[in-house]
Amino acid sequence: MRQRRPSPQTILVLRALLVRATEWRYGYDLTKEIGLQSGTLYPVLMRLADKGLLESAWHESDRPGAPPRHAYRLTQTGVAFASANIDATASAQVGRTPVPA
Amino acid sequence: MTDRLPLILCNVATRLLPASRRLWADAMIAELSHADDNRAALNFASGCLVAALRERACDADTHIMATLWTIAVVTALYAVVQLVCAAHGVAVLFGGHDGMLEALLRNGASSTIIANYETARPIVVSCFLALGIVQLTTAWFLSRGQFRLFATAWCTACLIAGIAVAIQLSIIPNDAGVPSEFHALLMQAVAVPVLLVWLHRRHRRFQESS
Repeated sequence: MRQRRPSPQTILVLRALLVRATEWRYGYDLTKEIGLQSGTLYPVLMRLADKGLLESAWHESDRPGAPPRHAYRLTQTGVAFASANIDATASAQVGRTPVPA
Repeated sequence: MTDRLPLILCNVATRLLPASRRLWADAMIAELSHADDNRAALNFASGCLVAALRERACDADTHIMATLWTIAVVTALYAVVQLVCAAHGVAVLFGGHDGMLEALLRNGASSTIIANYETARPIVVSCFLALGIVQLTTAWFLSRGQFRLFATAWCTACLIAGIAVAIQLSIIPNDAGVPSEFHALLMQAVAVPVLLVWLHRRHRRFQESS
């Protein structure tokens, strides 16, 4: 079966996670960094986690009294998937760019 | 109040999210305490609410329950119609106005047909009363997801409807050859099982793909 290409929002999230692939990232920080609303970010994160492309863990917060934060990073499969799809999107965009006369 | 609004919104989102996503609800609430200010927290919490609604809308179990409830409500409405018919029939039995008898007399029905009609009237009224009650029971079992009991009640309802239609058909066939409510009952008898089979197959396909 043909695999669906990720949405532009998913590509944005993948790109942000791939930049520092080994680091754990937090939901609120990602919304600020990417400029996506949490209403868009969290469903994307959930789908990525469902597909095994994203791993998560609970980390102690650096703010006193704040509850532990849920942190995310790409799995190895996720890194490969992100690289492949970001490259594919970039080449598709290049293909669509009109050649100057 | 405005300070607490983001937390309230996140708590609503927690309740809206399907059970399988509960961990994500905790994640959203935890992030709330890291928002830069109250405005940012409100913005973040509103987004979480939207995310929860989206997840709820995509949830297969929610789809199934919503479809089951829709079928149950339509079945219950059918039941109410049968009970109203039965109530009208009871009123006729106790001397109320009988439009059907009037129509038969106006169309010059023979005395045998009139006699048969009057004999069968209490049985048909009882059938409609029983049908209404059994259909309500059917709707109840369906809404609770008790499919074996539903199937039993459904077969009983079909049997009662069949008896009611057969009696009427044997006495006073209308111009088309069948009593007027026959089509509605037949449509319901066919549509509900077909919808349930479709729902079951869809659910199975979803489980296989996930």
